[in-house]
Amino acid sequence: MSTTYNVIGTRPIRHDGADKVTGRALYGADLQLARMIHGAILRSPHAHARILRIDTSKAEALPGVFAVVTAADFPPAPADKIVDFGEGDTLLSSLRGNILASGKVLYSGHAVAAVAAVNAHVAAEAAALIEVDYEPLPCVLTAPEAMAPGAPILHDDLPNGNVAELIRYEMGDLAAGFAEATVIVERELDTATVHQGYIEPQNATAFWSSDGRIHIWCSTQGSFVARDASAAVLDVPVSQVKVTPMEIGGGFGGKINVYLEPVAALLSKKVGRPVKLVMSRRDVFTGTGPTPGSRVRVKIGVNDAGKITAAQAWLAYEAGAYPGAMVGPGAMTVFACYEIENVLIEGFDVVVNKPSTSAYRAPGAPNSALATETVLDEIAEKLGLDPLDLRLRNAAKEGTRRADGPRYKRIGCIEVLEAMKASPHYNAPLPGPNCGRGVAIGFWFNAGLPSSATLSVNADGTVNLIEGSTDIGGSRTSLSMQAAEVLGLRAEDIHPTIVDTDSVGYTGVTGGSRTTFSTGLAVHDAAQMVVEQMKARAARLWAVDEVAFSNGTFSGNGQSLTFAELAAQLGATGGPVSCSATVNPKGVGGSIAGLIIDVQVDPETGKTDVLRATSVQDAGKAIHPAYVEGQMQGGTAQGIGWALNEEYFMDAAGDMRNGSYLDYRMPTALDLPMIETIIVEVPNPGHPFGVRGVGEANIVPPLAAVANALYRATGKRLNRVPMNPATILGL
Amino acid sequence: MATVFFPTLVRQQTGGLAQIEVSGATVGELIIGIEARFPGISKHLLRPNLAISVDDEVTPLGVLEPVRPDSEVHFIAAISGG
Repeated sequence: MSTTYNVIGTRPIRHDGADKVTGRALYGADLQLARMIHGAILRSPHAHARILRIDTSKAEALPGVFAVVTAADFPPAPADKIVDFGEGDTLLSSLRGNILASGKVLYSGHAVAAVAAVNAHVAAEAAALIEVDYEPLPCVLTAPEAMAPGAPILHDDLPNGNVAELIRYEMGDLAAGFAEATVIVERELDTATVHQGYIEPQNATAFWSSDGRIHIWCSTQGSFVARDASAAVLDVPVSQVKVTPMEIGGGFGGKINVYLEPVAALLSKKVGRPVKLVMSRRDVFTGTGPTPGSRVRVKIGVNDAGKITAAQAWLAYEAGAYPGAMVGPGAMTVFACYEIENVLIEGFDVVVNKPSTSAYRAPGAPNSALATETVLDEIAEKLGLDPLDLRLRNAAKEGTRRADGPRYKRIGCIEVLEAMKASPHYNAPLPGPNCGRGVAIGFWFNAGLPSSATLSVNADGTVNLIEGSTDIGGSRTSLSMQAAEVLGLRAEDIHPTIVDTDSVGYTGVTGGSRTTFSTGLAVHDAAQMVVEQMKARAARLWAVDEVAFSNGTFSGNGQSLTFAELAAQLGATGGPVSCSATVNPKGVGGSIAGLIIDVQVDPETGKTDVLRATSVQDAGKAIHPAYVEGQMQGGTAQGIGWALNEEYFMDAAGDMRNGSYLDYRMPTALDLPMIETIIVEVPNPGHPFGVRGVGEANIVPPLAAVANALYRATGKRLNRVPMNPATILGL
Repeated sequence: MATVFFPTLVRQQTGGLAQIEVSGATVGELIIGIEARFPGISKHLLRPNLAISVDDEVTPLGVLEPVRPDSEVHFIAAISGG
């Protein structure tokens, strides 16, 4: 693996920068099509109720209304049909049930029916005219309540009440491990339901043509997943659906599932015109997937030498209305930063009457890390150890076996901890009274999954890059830089375009921190093919057998041509050069992140001010360091909001009472200091440039780091997130 | 022979056995061998939400993934991310 690069590690301006800052970039809500009409969704006011009757006649009679759909408009399908999305499977009945309720509504905000009308106002008025008779049922809103005997049952077909799945990982001899311990700490912590908080609401426009082809324009993290899910819901072949991904205003995992796309398509089929649906902010909060609330109990034993001898975890995550809480990764990551011989982890996926949860940056990991990292903080204090030293004594390294089985390949846990310990922040004094400093670390796996790319050489020596990865965090540029590195060009010489599902090979979601890794591999492989074809052209031109290529220059038999010079002669040497690659890689490199945070707490009001925060993360190799820093800062900011303020505030009837950004308190730039970053580079041997994903691990430590800082500021070990003034003051 | 580790909750199908050594050139062949010893176990191993890890890497090939005589095979929760 070369470690000297011309392009990688530099900070070129982003290819889509001008479009974004001038407003030219087109988002889904901007889309205008000929004869397009508008839709609205009717949502349930009840958290749990049986649907007795739906009467759409008044809505259909309203002037300007073109069509109404309900779950009855879905084509018939076997109840147990499983939809394979390549990165996970879903029961079709759950997928459809969440898009339009059938039989029962399972959360307040559950979509029940949809209307298409001449404009959005008429559509909303018509939706309000749909009459739905409900038989309200008791609701259950937290995992512990849903697991209790006698709890209201959401689904009759789950074998264990509201527990959809039990996960259990066991290693070594737990009792013997705890017997060796001289210090044992056990804590139970709750976290609230929180939302990803992307700025752009979900939207979808669909046109079901008379020839049976369906074209969908939407805001999605994965156009192919949106295509496949929509095709499954509508029971049409995937080749009948084309998805054009519009620009995306944030996703963080929340724009992988489909909500509006199949509904817009059903409406369009009835009307024969394009139908656009755009969510309101309240729709986003109540009708899409937040991340699970949870209860996590962790018990850790440590010997006099500061070595963890045993660790036990019990995790109950709220799945929301349908199975699929992120308790699996929560269980797999709860002790993933440490080498521990004796472990028992039990996880419960529990359905409750809240919106069906979806992924959110390292889904499941912040919840479980909160418990582990605060317990370790308490143990370090009891042993009189520096909290980073305790972690260093137990840090996972290459060869460490995780409780779920696999052993780590090269991983940067020790390097991240050492960087934290050596940082100026960690060695600086705290500024005054009521201040505290906390630290924590966390792990995320990152993902592989398939990706495709095509490179076409232009006669002027530039290269067009065609790819299918939604650009959320600057991937146009991070991918272009990898092509440029291989081709000996500048990043600016690569022209990236993100295209629809008919125009590029299959590409998985922009999620799992995988795009710069996986799509980067596809780009790298395509670029290598381009080099080989260009070398063949030079060999033909010079009538030589061998051509060398280095730093953008082809040479052979005493002659040389730059990439641009040879590109200008492609027409005369055999025609254009265009190369495509599709990968489905192994070699994914997990990432460790750490956070050092200083807070100051007003003892009278309980208000917390974040004074300083330093995020440290192993990037493997930072392709574009500014984008890596941006990911670290973004994940940290979201984690701090999760720790201090954010929560779905539900009333007893299961209605969200703070479904706007006025009341759902996310941190703004005024709430946070400039978040400092330290990029650690422990190259991933599974990628030609050493790339690890960097989008997620950074959100794992903040909850625990903030809790540990608050303890040092207040003397209180808090057991509930958000740690807002009420929690801090014990109100 | 490759070593296959059983998830804790599948061990009720194996009489508590945590791991087994079994012959085969692919994960699929290993599972055929395991199924012969523990009839019905394959449906507990080949579930939609379980991924297959061979030699510490989740394999995109699943049951078609080649294995070596010293390979380790685990069945773990499938993960993508956000």
